[in-house]
Amino acid sequence: MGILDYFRSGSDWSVIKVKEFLNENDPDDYNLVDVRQPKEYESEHLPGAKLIPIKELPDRLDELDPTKPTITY
Amino acid sequence: MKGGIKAWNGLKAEGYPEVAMNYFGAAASTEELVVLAWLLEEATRKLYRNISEALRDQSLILLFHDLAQGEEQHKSVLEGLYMEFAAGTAAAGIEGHRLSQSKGGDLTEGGVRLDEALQWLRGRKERDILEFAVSLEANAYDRYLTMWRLIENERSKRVFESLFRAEKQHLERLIEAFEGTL
Repeated sequence: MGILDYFRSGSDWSVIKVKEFLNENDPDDYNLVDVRQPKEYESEHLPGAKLIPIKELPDRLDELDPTKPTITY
Repeated sequence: MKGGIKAWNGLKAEGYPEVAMNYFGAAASTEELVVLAWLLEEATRKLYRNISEALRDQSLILLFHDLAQGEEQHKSVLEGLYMEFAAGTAAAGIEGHRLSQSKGGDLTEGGVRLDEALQWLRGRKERDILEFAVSLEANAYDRYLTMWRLIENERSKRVFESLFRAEKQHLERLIEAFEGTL
């Protein structure tokens, strides 16, 4: 399973669509990932988002469930 | 997400996951985890009770009264879990636990100290109070959800799942009330 397998579809969801999706789905049904730097995450992030800085993403893919939709910002 | 977080106009949380880990890291067992969660609920209940007593708007008084009741009910759930996990060995219950005695229950669910929250809220407008409560619950939801993801022990997971789901319900009620003030 490669990194692209996590981000094949829905790569350009609007904020409204993401909001609807998060409201309608259980946190157990998706991966919500903040790929920014830790300081940025500390300052503000979407509630429930997992911090995985983009440089670390290739090495931490096992922390994401590939069978679930993944939302990143 | 198109536009990233700059485009996001919904709820936001702040702080590192480690903040929650640091607090709950004091727990050496699932029972102690429950005690620490119970203390957060108790401080938040006190906060909401204080807010409800300071407000004038009847619908908001009722809202914060309900939220305080919700925290009380959640304390009861945690007390039940505590007795289950402690397998009847904890005769004194949560309030008699050493962590209850040492920590004193002064930290609210959002990570804000109760006395500081009460001081900040003094004389504030209703909208500011609601905004503060939304922010507090958003952080609480974020931290409980993070803990739920991080913890592997199934029993501990149940505790945090129960907590983050309750916070989501509180958030929805507070957001509805906040939007009513706009």
